[in-house]
Amino acid sequence: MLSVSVIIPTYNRHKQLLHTLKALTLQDYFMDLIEIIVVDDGSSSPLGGLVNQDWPFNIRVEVQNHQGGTNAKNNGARLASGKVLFFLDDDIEVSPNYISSLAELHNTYNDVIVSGNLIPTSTNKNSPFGRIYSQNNQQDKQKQRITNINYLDILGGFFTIKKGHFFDLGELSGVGSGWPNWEDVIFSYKAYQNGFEFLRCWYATGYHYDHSLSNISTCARRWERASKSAVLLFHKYPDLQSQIPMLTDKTPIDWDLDSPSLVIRKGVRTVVSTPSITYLMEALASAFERWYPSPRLLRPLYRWITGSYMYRGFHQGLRSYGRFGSE
Amino acid sequence: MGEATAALSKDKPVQEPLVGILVLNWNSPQDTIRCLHSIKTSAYSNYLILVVDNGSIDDSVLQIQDTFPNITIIETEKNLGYTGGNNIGIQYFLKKEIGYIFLVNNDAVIAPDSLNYLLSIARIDSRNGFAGPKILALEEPKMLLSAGIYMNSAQDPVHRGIGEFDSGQYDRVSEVDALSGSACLVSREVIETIGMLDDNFFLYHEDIDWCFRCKNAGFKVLFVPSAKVWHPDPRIRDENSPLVIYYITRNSLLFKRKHHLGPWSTIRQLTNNLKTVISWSIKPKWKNKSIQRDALCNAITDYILKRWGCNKRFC
Repeated sequence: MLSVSVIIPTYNRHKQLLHTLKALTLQDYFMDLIEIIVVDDGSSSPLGGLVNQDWPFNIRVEVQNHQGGTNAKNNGARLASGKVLFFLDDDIEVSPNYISSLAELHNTYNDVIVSGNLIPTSTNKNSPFGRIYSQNNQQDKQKQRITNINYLDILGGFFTIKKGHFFDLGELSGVGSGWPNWEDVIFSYKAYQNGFEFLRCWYATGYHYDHSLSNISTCARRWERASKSAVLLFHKYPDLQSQIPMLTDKTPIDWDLDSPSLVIRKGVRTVVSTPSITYLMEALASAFERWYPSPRLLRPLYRWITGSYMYRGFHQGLRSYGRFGSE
Repeated sequence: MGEATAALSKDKPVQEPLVGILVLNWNSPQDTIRCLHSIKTSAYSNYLILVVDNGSIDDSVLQIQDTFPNITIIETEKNLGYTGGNNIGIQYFLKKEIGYIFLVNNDAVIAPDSLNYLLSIARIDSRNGFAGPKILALEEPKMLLSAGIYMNSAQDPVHRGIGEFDSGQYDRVSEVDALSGSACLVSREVIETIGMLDDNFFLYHEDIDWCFRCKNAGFKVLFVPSAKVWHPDPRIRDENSPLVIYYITRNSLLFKRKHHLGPWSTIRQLTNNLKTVISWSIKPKWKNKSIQRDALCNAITDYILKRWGCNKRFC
């Protein structure tokens, strides 16, 4: 039986953190093999009351100055005494079989990064966006399976790796300071180059109570920020340029390398992402949300709007951080 | 921070929440009395029992009152189905200071410590909306009937472990897609958030719909194996009942429509149903199945014409 360390970085979300910890008390793994490390990234009020509780597992709180989530995870990993590191964001609540299923996989395989099945869950019951987005992911057909996944599907707040491997790969490092700094993509890319396998265990679920799912504009703005900092990522790791599927048709047209179909896709994306058309689509989406909230109509509209925001963010990034690949 | 520490503070006395136990009776006083006897032996003390008599045409109310003079009984004028009857009870409980409602079928028998186990899990977190026990067969007390409900690849609900011998293979607290409505604990917060049972269902599948709505609202549905409930095996009882065939067929189609489970699962089910109708019509072996076949046809017609709720023919 492997001992596990769950590393939870947190920043000013005490109430949600409490839910996360309570979900961990239901784990069907040996409680004395579970160690929880809460890394408080300089929250404005102390976490003291949380540790003094009667938790069934060992829990310790590490307070650091506000340095961002990536550093918090690294600090937590250095303190960990378990054989396997479970990185968990403070807004993810896991199912009772989460630790036992993933620990079993780590027991069986070596050189793997294992992830569970993350289900976006909206806490805003009145917003059609949250409802449709969560419904979309409620049922999956691969419920009882373990599958190989692409290294890009590993999320920084929801993956597990053996402690030795984590330090062999040189910890997490991002391109910027705060979110989004793409530390998960960089880390899993390094792992991929070192011949790691990436597994997803579909029946070990985590519910992501993501505040950005409350409506389409907060969600789209988030993607805009992520796309903007993706430019920095591409500066640092030019190999990744063509790898990230969400940005394939948002990058500028490269007439020498792009296939004709990709050139057409990029052209269409440029046209449909103009601010006036995006504004029109947002108005249309809010009208549908109000009068006819059909998932079948709204889902493609949401995709369109998020796509436009990503395009906008990426081009903002190009303007502020400079183009790449031209020299 | 204030709220979080307040909830965690050790000095606060831990009180057992008041649980409302809701039993729905319809023309089966002996079953109800057996169920109430089992509830009375419960190790949990802080509960209220309510019996809703769903328009029984026999002397149910008198018999129950004779045996348990202190129990509150609400009588409805006509049969409102599982949804209507339970909704009346839930409304009654919501006016009181209850924290959880335990819905239980009147033909079930509850183990004395079930409520304690269910509550110990449900009370850990306010996000734990539903908690359901392990359901075993009354005729054969070691045979599993349900260890939670899962959706299979064809998007049909399947009782986990049905017909299996219970050797502890499901003895882990786990998250499931839905729980059987024959016995489940619901928190007040969930009902206040997602509303009561959907009256369009009348009977069958309303529990699965409720759990799905609960999950969509961000709550969790948990299966608690240490809590046990014994229930008559529905596979024996309901095999040839036209009422059961009608409501199960129509409501599973309605459920798929309501939760957008995709056109393919609906088409697959409709095709299977039509195959059954044809087979029951032309094969000499099934010549005694005409009532069941008519019920199936009615169900499909009512689905297409969007006639939900109670059907006068099957009441």
